[in-house]
Amino acid sequence: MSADPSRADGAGAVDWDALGIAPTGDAAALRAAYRARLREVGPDRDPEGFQRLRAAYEAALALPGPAAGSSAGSLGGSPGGSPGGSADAGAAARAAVAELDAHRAAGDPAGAIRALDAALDAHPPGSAAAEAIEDLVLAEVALTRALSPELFRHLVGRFDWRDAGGRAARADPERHAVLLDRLAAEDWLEALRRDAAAPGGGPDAPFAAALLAPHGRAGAMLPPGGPNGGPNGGLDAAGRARLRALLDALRGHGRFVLHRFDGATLALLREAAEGPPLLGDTRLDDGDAGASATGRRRWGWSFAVTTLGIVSAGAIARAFLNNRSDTAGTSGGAPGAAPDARTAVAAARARADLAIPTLSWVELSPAPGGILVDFAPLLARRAAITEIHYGTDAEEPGSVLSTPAEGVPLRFVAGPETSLVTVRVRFRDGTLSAVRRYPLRGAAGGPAGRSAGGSAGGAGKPPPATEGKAR
Amino acid sequence: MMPHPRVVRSPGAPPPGAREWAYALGAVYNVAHGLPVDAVALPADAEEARADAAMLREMLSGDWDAPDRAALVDRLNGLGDGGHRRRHGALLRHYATLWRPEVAALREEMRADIREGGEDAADAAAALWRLDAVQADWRGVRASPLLAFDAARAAMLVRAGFMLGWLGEEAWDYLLDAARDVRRTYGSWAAYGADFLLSRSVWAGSGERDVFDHVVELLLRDRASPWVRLPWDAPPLPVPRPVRPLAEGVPAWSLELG
Repeated sequence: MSADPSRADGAGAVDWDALGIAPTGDAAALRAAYRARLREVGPDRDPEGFQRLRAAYEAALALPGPAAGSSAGSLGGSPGGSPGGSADAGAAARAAVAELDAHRAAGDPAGAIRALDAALDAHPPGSAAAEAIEDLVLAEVALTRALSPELFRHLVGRFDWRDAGGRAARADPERHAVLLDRLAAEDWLEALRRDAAAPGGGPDAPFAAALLAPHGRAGAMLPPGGPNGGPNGGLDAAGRARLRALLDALRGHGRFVLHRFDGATLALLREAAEGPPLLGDTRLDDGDAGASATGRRRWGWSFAVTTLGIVSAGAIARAFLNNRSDTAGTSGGAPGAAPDARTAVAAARARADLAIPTLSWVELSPAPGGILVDFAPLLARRAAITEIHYGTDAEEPGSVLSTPAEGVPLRFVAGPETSLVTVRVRFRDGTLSAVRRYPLRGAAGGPAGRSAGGSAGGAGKPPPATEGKAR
Repeated sequence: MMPHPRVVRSPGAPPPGAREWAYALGAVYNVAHGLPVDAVALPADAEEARADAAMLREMLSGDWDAPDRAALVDRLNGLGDGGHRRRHGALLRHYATLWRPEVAALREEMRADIREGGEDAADAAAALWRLDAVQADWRGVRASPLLAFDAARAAMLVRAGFMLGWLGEEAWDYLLDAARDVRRTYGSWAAYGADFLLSRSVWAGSGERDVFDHVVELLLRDRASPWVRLPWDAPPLPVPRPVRPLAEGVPAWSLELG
């Protein structure tokens, strides 16, 4: 913005005192001055002062140069209402934000900035339309987590959101306070970048550079250990303290900027400041051997199961009744006795497993006389359950079995006439699960390409693993 | 028992051009569900089609609380606007910056929740797994973008929407934007598949292998798999893409980087 404000043919006609600024050709400065003065001389509060201000603003915008083109053509509006009234202002705001959102969704923040500027430049600052745009952007855009930092900064500048007494602060103090928090985070990050890029840099510069480094590069950027270097990444005590302060500062702003940092880099720097991570004893996975065994079991790669004892549902029931007393006899505790911590962890883990839609609760396989229904997946998680309810060709599982002693299988052969097995479990806290349905149609084989089930919801499959549950 | 997973293609032509590539994001679910990897419509057989449609409705309604198109679009928008990758990404980074006494305290808190039992215990066990996974950098989880799980589920939901007739042409734009996001985030189908398993484990709060480990392995080596047939970097899917208006009731996948 470089219009020459000293030109006799223009600048002299502008009432710069009314605007409260020195002569300038900077459109942004003009807008900011106009907005600031509007707070003092609004059309309702000081009509005469407002007329003077408005005339000054129009005259300033009419000066030749880039500033003049910004909004001179649309100055017919007033702070109290743009042409067409508040309905038009609302429509203008909607249109502006829609355009902004379209650019954002396209991954085009530069285009979003241009679109916003074009929309705002079509209305004078303080007009109903401009204010409606600001209000809508504040309400729907300013605090969205995905908002790109460059667009956020532009919004802050364009709407003077740093101003603690500005329109946004007055209209929605709560939102504006959060906005200032985000701004502080962005400012902190900018300062970090400056520190990292400063030639020669201060004592924090290497840490700032490491923190901002791309994945895998931070380690080489940490300063080497000096004579006082300790065991933690070669940093001496002062270095560790500096790094620690830096990470604490990041955490203070983490809500707004932490997601932009590489997690591995964060962990590496934390380790450099404090030492190796505190590892837990959680079983993170089941290891290759275990995984292989699990995979085979779940996918039924071995049909050796058919060589195991196949018993009828009635026989299973009897076996369970027998096992019920066995279990009670070996547990030695009254029902509801508090389990020890290890048992509780196992129970929680098993319960978490059973919540995974991917995990089938039964294994189905062809067997002489029908389909073998094996409850092995449930028994493997016996720690979480006390009863298994099942039904055949019934939506409500009517048969109730206690979990048998460890090592005792639970399976039955569903006859060829059976089309559906339903299962629910009672958890150790006494609650019942939802019913899971296992259609048996075509479980013994199906057309190529459609899997053994013959349809996406066909037999032999667990309920489709679609992972819709929030976790 | 689940049947053997197999990679099977439809007898008809696959979706054209970049659509085929974008559709391949959900191949892992197509295979797991016993569907051709490029199937966008219900099977020709009327009985199978009815059964599949019923299953899809049940799945959408039960697992996704999406009994109709409007709700499905809402779920798609949720995945496109951050999904689980945003929340879990923030969580993993937070865990990565915790000082050791904080880790110990948090771990004890989670263990106490587990000991108490009840509904919270399962969540606490999952949270503890995530915390410990970050401390151990399990399978490189600290640096995971966590995008693949959301992208694959989005493709799976779009496929369900296509098959039920709830979604049409407009959903291809959504899927292509998801593909753009995936393309700029990963360097290969192998990286995408690996991060699918990883981000899914983070979601589940468990590292136990299951059917999807096998499906991903299969998709990376089977000649019929789109992950083998389609080169990772073609056709071009640039970001930013041309701007188009966002319409009410039409799913949107945002490419904005916050």
